[in-house]
Amino acid sequence: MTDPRHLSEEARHGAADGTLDAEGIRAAKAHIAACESCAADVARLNAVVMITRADSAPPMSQADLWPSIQLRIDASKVVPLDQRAGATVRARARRPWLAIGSTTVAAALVIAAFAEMKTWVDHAPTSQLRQSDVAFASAADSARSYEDEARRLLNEFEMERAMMGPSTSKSLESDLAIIDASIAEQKAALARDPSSVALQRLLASSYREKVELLKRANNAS
Amino acid sequence: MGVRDDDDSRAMDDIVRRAQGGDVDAFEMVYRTHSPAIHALCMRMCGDAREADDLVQDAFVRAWEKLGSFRAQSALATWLHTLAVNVVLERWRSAKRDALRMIDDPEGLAMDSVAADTDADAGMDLAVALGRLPAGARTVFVLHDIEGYAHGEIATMTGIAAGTSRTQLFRARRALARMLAL
Repeated sequence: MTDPRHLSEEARHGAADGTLDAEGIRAAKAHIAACESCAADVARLNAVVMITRADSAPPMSQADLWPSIQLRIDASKVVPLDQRAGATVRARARRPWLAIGSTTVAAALVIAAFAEMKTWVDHAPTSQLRQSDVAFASAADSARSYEDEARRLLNEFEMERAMMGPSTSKSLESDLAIIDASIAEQKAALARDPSSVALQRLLASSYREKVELLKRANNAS
Repeated sequence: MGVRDDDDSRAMDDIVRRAQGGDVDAFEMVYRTHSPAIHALCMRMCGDAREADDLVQDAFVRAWEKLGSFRAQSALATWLHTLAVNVVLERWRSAKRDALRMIDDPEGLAMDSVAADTDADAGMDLAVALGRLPAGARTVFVLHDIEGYAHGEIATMTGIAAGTSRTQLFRARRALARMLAL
């Protein structure tokens, strides 16, 4: 219940932060001049407002968040193969040699990549796991250049795919999907641990496998 | 605005246009320029450094996705702040956290527990005191007194009544005054 002998709660806060209208300010000033209790309370609230306005921003995170943001932006650019496929199939040439064991090969590549990471993590001392910025930047550059190359080859592959047999095409799609899933997992892991050199190297390695698979596919067709 | 400011503004407009065209390096410059303020906002809203880092990442990924809808007429900083506030509120909605429920707390039950648990401390930093506020009161306080949103805008963003926003703000200020021994 508002005490009619004093300013209302809203008027006190309005007087403290200057949001009262002109008439409200006049009335508040007149009251405060004659009421010590309200004057003290408005001064107290005004101190909170002034401290807040003068407060500097809390310190920025010590971690550089950009690498994680960039990884997520890059990951969002990965489009499922089905959506990338052209609508027109110009010809269907069967190339069974491409399909032979390709899924197995792709799966093996992914398993090998994870084994590589596990070996690295298991045997490297902590100091090695925290490689210098140079090592990280080098691995990141590698991943980026393989990614660019994979993107270029993928465009070529889309052109060539129209001339592949359905089973060959399907098999390659499957292999690429396995590698892409692996890349997505590694990017997610990197998002959680952006400074991990081991993960960055693993990502570069996965992109390299993708490049090699696409090169084989494009050359064969 | 001086010549230097005009130049800076034009340079940033150019950077934003490049980023809108898909240039990730340009977007990194946007990030480098605005991330301290966005981090401060997230940190103040959630009160946790690790969560603030996550929210900053979410906000800038969202900004990248939505950059095409940004119009240079509105200040980029304002646009990013609004987007970041929405990211924080959405995170709370999806996590069904108490924060949003506490914003709509007309009885001030959450604040009562703060009053009981918190002693005045003349040396207490504002950031520490803010961190001790119930999430709802902290959110309204940050949005109004730090970010400069009006109660009507806060009501729209959070789904509470403007009057509730006002009440929460008043409670937050009083709790802060007590914690800061003012």
